[in-house]
Amino acid sequence: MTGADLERLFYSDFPRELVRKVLQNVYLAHQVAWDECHSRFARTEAENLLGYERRGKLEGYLRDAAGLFPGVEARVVRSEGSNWNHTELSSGLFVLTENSVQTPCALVRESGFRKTLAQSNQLSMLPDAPVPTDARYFAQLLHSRYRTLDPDEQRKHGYLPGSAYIAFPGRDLDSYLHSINLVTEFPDVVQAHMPEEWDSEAQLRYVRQARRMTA
Amino acid sequence: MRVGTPGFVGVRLREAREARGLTLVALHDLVGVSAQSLSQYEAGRSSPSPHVLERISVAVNMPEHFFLLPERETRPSTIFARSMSSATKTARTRAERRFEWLRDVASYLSEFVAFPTPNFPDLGLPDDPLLLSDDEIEEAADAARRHWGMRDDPIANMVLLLENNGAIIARDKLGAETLDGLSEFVVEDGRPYIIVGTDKGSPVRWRFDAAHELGHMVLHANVAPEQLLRPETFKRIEEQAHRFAAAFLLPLASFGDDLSAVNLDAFRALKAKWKVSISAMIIRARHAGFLSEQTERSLWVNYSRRGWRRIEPYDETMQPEEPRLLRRAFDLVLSEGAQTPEDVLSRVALHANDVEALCGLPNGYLANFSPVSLLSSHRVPERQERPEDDAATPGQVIQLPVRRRTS
Repeated sequence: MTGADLERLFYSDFPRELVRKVLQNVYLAHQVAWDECHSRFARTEAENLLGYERRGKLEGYLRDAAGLFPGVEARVVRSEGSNWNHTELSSGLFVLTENSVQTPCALVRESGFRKTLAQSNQLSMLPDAPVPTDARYFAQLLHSRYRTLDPDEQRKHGYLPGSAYIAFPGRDLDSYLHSINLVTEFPDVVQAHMPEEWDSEAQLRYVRQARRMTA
Repeated sequence: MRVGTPGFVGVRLREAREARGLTLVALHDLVGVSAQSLSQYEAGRSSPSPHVLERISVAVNMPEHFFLLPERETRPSTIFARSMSSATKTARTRAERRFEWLRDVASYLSEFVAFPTPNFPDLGLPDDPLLLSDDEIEEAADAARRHWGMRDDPIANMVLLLENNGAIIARDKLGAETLDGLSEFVVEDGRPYIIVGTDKGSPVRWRFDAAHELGHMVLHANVAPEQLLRPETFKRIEEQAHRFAAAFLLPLASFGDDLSAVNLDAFRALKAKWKVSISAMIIRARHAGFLSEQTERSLWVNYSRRGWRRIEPYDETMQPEEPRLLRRAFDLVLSEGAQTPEDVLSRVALHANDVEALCGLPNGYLANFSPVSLLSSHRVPERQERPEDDAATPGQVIQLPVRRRTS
């Protein structure tokens, strides 16, 4: 199965409209978490809390978005061996979770539930390998913060996500078999969230920055 | 023998009294003439002395010559008011009187300026509103957008859209919180007239009210006045105009595309874009089938918990959409010298405050009007007599400002 096959398979279970809404919710969660943390706390504490708040917001939004699509199931799962809950969206062959990463499409640190999901993954990138009918595929929504070296710019636009990907990890979670850059996949969503004061050059820079850095 | 006022028109007294929301007894208290005498004046059975007329004029804040204007011609009228409850009957009558004044002012201005030609869709809908289905209302809202060549994007300015298509709109205090607006399609000039009540609400609410009145213009243009008297028909008409407003402001496909999830944060984010209240978006989402009853209940609980029933996010920061047409017409008529403020007040026979309030003019606009002139720094400089300069630069040409040719 090639990357294109995998992508096609993914979209046959997760409708494009849902994936589009997933990206909208990434923007929304980053914005709302930023606003709420920065309105309630000093900048230093806001920065400490931001990741938790963002995760909480986004997981809730993803469940709400799934509710708009019959056949897509959203559930909260207690991670094995920890007190943390995470959200899983499942539809057809795929299970999707969300993860925050430092850089676009970076690898996610290993955890019990991810390892379990990845190891049950039947993905194979051999071109001629048939798709097993009982396969369960693991997909991750990866999103990172918008980062810039200019502190003023960071304060003004730090509410933006810096990237958003749907990535398909290999069994050992040490690489991605394929990934979909949502920023280039849904330019209309990105356009709708660009700061008004950004010219086209700034927007292009933003889109370039959202790309995965290493192959 | 008592001397009356020649030419006094009793129904004008009634109009003025009702426009001020006064009962006969209240007017009696203000003027010191018995309610019975006032009633006689209104019925045209007697007329007040010039001295009493002066007192009445002061009490109701109307110029004396208002009471000498001819009686209005009666004509069939279907004014859509948002509440028919008895509690607001006085307020509704008051509003309807002010509505007549709005038409008077617009009619006067139309002698001097050409308002946009009315361009409202006639969709050939049934005269009986009870025959209209919800699907037809959705289609009508869509057809109205197509009629004006609009895409399914958010409407930048609802009031401007209506004005550009020939509606005359005013924002006015209607004297009752339950009365949100009035509208009428006036057959004589084929133009809708709309008053949006500002007694309560918020910029997005007033914008929705304007769309609601458009709903009446599109859906109910052929409804007979007597149909409004039937409570079940009236209720249905109001629901239909509401549904139309929501469909017109939030086209299903693009609103659905923008709605990332059914939760209050998502609705809140969309409010800034679509300029529709969060509560109206929740109702729209329910009508569209985007949410279950259970989800809706939980949304309303959280909506209350966040204090949004009192005030929603952005309500204090968004600017209301102000009508501009009448204000600009006044600017034009007065600045071009076609009329003076005195001419205006004499012709429309209203107090300056009423004209200013109905037309969105600043307080004191008519009293303090002075024609616009160029600042001195932009005028053609006058040549100053400076002998030494004259000697140094004989025959200097003064550069005149270039007048741009317009084709």
